[in-house]
Amino acid sequence: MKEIAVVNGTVYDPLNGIDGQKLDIFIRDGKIVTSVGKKARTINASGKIVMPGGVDIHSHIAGSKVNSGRLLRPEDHRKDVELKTEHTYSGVGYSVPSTRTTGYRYAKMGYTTVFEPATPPLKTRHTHEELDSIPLIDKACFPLLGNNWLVMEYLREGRINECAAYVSWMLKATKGYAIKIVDPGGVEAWGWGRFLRGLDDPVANFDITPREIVRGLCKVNKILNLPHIIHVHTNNLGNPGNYRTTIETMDAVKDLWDGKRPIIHITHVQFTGFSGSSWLNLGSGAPEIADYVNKNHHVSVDLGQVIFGDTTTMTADGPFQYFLHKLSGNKWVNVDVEAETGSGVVPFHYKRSNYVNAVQWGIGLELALLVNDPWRVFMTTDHPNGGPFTSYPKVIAWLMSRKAREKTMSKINRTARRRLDLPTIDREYTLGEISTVTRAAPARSLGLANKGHLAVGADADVAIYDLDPSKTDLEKNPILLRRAFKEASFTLKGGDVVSKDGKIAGTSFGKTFYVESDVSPSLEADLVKEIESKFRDYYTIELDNYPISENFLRNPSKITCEADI
Amino acid sequence: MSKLILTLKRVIRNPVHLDLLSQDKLVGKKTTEISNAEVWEGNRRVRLKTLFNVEGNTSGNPNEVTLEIVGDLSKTRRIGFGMTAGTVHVKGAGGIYIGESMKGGTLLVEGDAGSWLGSNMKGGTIQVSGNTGDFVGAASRGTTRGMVGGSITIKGNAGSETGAWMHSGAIRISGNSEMFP
Repeated sequence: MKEIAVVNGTVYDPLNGIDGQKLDIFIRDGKIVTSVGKKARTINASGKIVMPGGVDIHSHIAGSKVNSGRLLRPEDHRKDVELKTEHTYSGVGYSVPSTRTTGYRYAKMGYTTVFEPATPPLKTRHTHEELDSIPLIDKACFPLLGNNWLVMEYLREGRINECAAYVSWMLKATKGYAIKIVDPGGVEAWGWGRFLRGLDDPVANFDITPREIVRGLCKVNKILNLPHIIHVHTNNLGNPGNYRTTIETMDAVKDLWDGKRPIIHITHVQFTGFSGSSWLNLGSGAPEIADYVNKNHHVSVDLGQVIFGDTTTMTADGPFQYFLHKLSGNKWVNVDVEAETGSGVVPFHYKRSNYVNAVQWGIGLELALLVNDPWRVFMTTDHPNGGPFTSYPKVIAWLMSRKAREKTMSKINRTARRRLDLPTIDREYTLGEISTVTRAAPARSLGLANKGHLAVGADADVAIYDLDPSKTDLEKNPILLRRAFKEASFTLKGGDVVSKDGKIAGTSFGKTFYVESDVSPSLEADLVKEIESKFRDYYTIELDNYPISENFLRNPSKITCEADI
Repeated sequence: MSKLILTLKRVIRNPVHLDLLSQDKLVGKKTTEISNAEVWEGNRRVRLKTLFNVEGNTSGNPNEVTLEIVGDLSKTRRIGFGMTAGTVHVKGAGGIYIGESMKGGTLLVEGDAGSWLGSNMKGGTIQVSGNTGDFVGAASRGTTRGMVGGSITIKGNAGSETGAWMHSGAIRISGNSEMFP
């Protein structure tokens, strides 16, 4: 029996309405409890803040494209080398760190749960192998289904139940967590040399539009009662004027809303929030998107904030990566995953002096500051697309301190500064709101009942930061924020101290979550019979070799849901 | 005009990282401090004094300090890494990555030098009296900017890929060269 008491800390637990009260947190056997015995280890958190362990909803940390990124970028390893210590292995990589280093760096920042948001189903075995070697944090992955041939065929034929059965089978086969849609139909169309310009452009050979794919999968998500909602990377990403497509995508599923929680998550919305008609008059579409999000409660977004500096962009959106490769002249990796999706990797350098990059930086922050409800906007950098996750402290400082924003703003491209709304926004996030956008809200959106809060029964994932809001005016001292959130004083994962003052103190491995939503046995039997022949037609591998068994995962943790069919 | 002389005491078997041996990191330090500094030899940390006899001092104007390294240093890496001033004089064979990311000063090698001589070099002068390996003044793996300034003079022969991704500066080879990029 392992007991820990975290005493005298200032607690920020927004899910339970605790906003900066002095409270003691008690932990026994990896869970939060009401009290512990006298022999419990005591962690004195006086003068420090206590938050639930961070939850990252969207961070590319594992899988074949991440590994392609590593292969593509020896220079990225060269400039960031970590030596081995008592509890850690050595590792390399700034924007695409090696697997173990990824886990260590997240734990150091107080993050304990991270979701890999895009894995081609066919390559998920690799994703799980990498997730298994990431220590200290809990994780899961979202299989890509927005360009899947079978999904598109079912939806074209209007067979929504069969589509749901297929998605259910797919989640089981890949040990996935949620439905990820990337550039619905667009990647497939690009494979045939065509670009989709809008939601109603038909996909070549499939006679289906992106709108139908998004709506169909949204219905499927509802039928299967999955814990998360559809996770959408919209069409037209990275094109000037694409904020309209983003709003159209959100609007496409509006009538399906049942008035409860959101039903569509638009991810890294910064990359899809450009207004204007060309790169010359590019502007921020953030006010329009934020206005829509404020008025409509069926949608949530995450930022995909840009950090100035060198990074590696990687996405399943093959067409966009091709475009970026042509635009920047940088090296490029491109992969077509048979019958499922594509992907691309391009190194990229965001420059302050560059007009477009500076506007992008502004869009992310404007979105975060203009969306009123922090429960529907999550903080991410779309690691490593906007910047590496190690830059989160910077983003927190920008959100919490106008002074920090102004300092960066004084260094960016002048035209961009003039055209952005950001200088006129006064809002500063409170610590409670930061706790919401980095922990509580993503955990709630992912349907993780035991994460993102500190009530009795929750997982004992706790982050303690060396910050004293009663003594210092944090808004005036953004450097303190950056310093504190860079290295948590303590990170507790499942009741164990895994990081202390920026030094890793544990070697445990977290769980890998996956979702099973069983449809009726007869429906499943019919489905398997049907996809057997389709597999023979479309795939180069046998159906029997496709599913990943549970014992392939190091620490599997199944979440079961009741499907309606 | 101060001079610090490091004389190799024993044969180096595993690669030694000597990026410490550039003017900027040694100027103004006491000799005992320098001889107690740690470097990587293979996977172990060793003190400089276990490898070298350290004599002389590095006091005074950094531009006038000379660092003399004597012995067979072909198993070493990164001598003169990022140096900005002064003179580094290698008497004997040098290792690989000599003068990597060098910005100024003079680097003399009396003997052969390994590969990656002056890679990512930005300024300063390198002179080699013997032969060199491959990738002289080249860009390090994956990057697209090699040598951008300074000059490299090689009395002997050079290996292949000399000046790969080179942007500016000068490389003079008196002997033969293998394939150019």
